Amino acid sequence: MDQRGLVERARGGDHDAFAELARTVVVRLDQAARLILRDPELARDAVQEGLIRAWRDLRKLRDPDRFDAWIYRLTVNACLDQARHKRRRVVEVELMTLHAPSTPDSASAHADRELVDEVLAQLDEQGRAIVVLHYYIGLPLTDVAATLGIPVGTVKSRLHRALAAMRVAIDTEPAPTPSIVGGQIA
Amino acid sequence: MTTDSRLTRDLPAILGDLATGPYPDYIDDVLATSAGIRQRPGWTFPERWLPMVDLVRQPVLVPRLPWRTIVLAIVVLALLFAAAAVYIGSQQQRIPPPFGLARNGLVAYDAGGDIFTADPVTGAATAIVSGPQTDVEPRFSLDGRQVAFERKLGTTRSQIYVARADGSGLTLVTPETVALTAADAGRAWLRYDFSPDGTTLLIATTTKGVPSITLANTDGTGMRELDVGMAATELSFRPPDGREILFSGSGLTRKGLFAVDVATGKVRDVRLIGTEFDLAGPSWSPDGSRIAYWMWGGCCTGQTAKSHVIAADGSGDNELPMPIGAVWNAHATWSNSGTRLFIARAYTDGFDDVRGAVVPADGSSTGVEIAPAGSVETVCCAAWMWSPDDSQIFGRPAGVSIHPNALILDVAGGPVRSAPWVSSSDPTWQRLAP
Repeated sequence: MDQRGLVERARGGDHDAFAELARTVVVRLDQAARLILRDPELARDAVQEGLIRAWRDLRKLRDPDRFDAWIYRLTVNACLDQARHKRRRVVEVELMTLHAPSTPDSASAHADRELVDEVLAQLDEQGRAIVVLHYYIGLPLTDVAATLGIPVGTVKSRLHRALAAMRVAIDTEPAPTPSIVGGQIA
Repeated sequence: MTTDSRLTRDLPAILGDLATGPYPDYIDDVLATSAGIRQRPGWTFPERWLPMVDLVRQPVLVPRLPWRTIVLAIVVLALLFAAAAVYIGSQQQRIPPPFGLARNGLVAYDAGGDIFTADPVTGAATAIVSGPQTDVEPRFSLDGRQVAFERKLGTTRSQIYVARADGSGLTLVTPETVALTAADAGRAWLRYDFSPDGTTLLIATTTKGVPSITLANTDGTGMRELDVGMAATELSFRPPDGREILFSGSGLTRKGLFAVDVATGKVRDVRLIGTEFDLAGPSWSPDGSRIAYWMWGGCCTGQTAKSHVIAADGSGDNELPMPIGAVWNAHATWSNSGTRLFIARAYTDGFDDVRGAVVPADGSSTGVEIAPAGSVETVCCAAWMWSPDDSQIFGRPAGVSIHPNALILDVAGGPVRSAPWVSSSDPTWQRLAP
């Protein structure tokens, strides 16, 4: 069954349909939450909160085709809530370093990833959410603005600043040192 | 390829790499939890009933409310209001309690038909009510913020006005003219006085020739007579709330001290005396628990008055002791602390050796004489009061017909001095917050 059918069934109270929907999106939600919060435990809590809200309020969703955007919105907002609560609790959470490449990559790609990671670490949760929603989830800027409840202009300017920071970081990074294989310059 | 284009091209993959992690196996727990939760019915969502745009489909063009800024602004405004309130409060006169010790303020008196206030030390005076009318006998309210005075209309009728202490806000409190009682005995000089809360003026009036009790609202909204069924003079509100009025009463069959409940009009006996006796000057202690008065008669010729203190219910009458050689004492006047009384004490049965004395209110000793013979009274109807801080006695040593200057006595026994202003009006001293 396609996603639209699953959403309609889930809206009708079919929890199995909702479970199937949730399993298809949970990985992506978890990754987005980890990128935004940079803390796997907080990310887990945010995703749980987002999914439970989705099940409880699913009948609020008018257009089944908008399920993905809607579930991301719920999860991102849960992430921002988690971040606010974290600040209120003044819990010192050590930000994790997000570089665990799934596949071997070149030295250049590895360097870029580390630099992007550093720039992301310097953004606040909302700034990271903008980058993640647009570049990782693929939402258009208007949907990003709607998801976060901020003007599109704000989304554009924050995204521009984030990209500029990444560009500066990459441009100023010295070229990676060539590895020596077998005594020869590779 | 530029860095920009390469970055925007590679960023999704970089983010994907950065986000790589284990499969979120907590999904089973989440689904177990959600399975136990009921979905909210569709009708509970406002979007079902109101023409609202789909929150997901439509971009939000209106900025989210900046709650942090709003809260900060509210806090700043609250602080500003608090600071303004503190500033305004510091600029406003603090109010003293109606009874007990207070700080000395101004005195008020009449001269030439006008009302003045003056610094009791320097005598620097200000006319607060002036004009062609004849205004006399100012009296401060117990909180020091208002002044009542009599405006004479011919020889028998008067109006009573109330103004703020600076003379502003003049209000006529007797819509009908009144005839005040004669100020010829005991504390009858005190012909009008404020209630403890300052909202009512107690006026000793004469109705068809009979001394009576009139209550007037100090905001000028009305007045009424309180019928006690007998002639009533020397009126005073009972501290601390003014629920009773004490008076010297004289009826067809009864004579003495009485108290009337202001709310019900019920009269109770406080101290009945025989027809061969007389009493005068009843006054409440500042806490309303005791009454001082003086009494004479039953024998002899000449002055024989003795000062007494009794409980508010009339029990425990205690005649204050006198030193050897003293013949009479009168004009018992409570200190603000309620522990002492000022009395005029005489060593003859006339008025030629009258001294001022401060005695303990419990009668435990004959006290201390603070004013020598000849300084405090020559004949009937003196009027005395303690300064708000109990350091001085302020008054008029004889009847108004004699027109003496006011005197200021030092409770600690210093020299008696004339007040630095010329007036024969009764004493009144503004109370200020300590």
